[in-house]
Amino acid sequence: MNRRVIAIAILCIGFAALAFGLSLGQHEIVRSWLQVFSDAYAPYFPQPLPP
Amino acid sequence: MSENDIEIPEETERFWVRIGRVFTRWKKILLEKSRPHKTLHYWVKKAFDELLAIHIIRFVVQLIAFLLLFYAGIVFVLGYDPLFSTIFSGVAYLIPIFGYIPMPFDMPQGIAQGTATGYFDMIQFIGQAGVFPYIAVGVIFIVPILVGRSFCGWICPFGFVQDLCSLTPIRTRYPSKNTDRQLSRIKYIILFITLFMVAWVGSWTFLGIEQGLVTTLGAFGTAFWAVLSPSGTFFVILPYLWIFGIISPILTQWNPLPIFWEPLMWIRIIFLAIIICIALFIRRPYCRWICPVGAMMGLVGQFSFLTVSRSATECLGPTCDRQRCKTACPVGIDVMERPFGKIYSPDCILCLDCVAKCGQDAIKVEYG
Repeated sequence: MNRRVIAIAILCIGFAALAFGLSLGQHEIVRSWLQVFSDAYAPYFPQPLPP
Repeated sequence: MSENDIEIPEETERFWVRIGRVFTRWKKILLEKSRPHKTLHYWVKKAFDELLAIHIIRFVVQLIAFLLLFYAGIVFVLGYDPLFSTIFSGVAYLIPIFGYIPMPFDMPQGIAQGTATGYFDMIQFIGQAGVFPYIAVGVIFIVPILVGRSFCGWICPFGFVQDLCSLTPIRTRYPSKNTDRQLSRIKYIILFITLFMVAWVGSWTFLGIEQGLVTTLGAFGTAFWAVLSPSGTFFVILPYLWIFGIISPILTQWNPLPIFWEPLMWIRIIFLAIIICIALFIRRPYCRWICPVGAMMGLVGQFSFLTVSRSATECLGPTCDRQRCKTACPVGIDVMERPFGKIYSPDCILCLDCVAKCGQDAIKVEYG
């Protein structure tokens, strides 16, 4: 199959996935993802000592 | 070739040598400044030829990306960002699309996460949390088709670290093609295992039966590859060790490092150290053999609109007396062995080193 056809097909799938994700409101998940990321690294960070 | 061009010896073809030669050349040009035939057009053209050389532009872009991510790592470790968060968040929200999709300057704590490779981490974190990451998958499909793996060659800060390693005086080694081919499979294996784990943990989380599995997997239950990624080690763990392991105890007499006894942290640091050591004598070993992000972007990016092509009319082939393109590629692609026309390779990071080094102007960038 022509490479350009495959490229355009992949591009269409990508834009469809992006649009679908946005319509589902996944950008809010993406925004909160940093928090998930922080939680995953939480053991690496020191807990402040009690005063 | 004009009289001002300087032939760089093959053995000493290192970046800083080139920088030195650029300065030497400019000095020579400035000394000749009084000659009457040097018009303004001549000087402008010289400036563009010299200062906008591909390798200098790429170096500057990589340096900016590196500094941004290094700063982001510091911010992440400190837990606050005194400088950029206020300024850039305000600017970002003026443009609607940036309000929806995290961009590098929108999320100073997640500069890497605002890029294509950050979306691979998002696939892991969000996928293993039981949600199909449509946006991340979309970006991973779109970006490599539009610009190939140019992210790897121009932006990736860990690629830049490896490039810096290869600038040391240690002689560059070139692994045999068979070795290179065998080792290249590692990155696809890692990619497959990572995506399998995302699907496995994600589906169990979706069904609500993940507790035992996630407990068993430990840190890998949250994001399989992200907890091993040497980029994360370099830009997060090492700043952490510097700030809380050395500076903070000196300043505050605080004993903040129970993490020193975490085996995973030492595994990460040893892994990073091994890669850095290999990068001293082999160019971009992580990118060509291990990186699952590069593997995934390469699988999609081999259909990219943006490619490098070898001209059948201008390339001298085996009769070329320089053949710099044979050793120019940091990921080991032998341009001379490729057929004429567009070069489709999942390993090409579009660094354009081959374009810059071809003395015949036979290698060009094409789009479409």
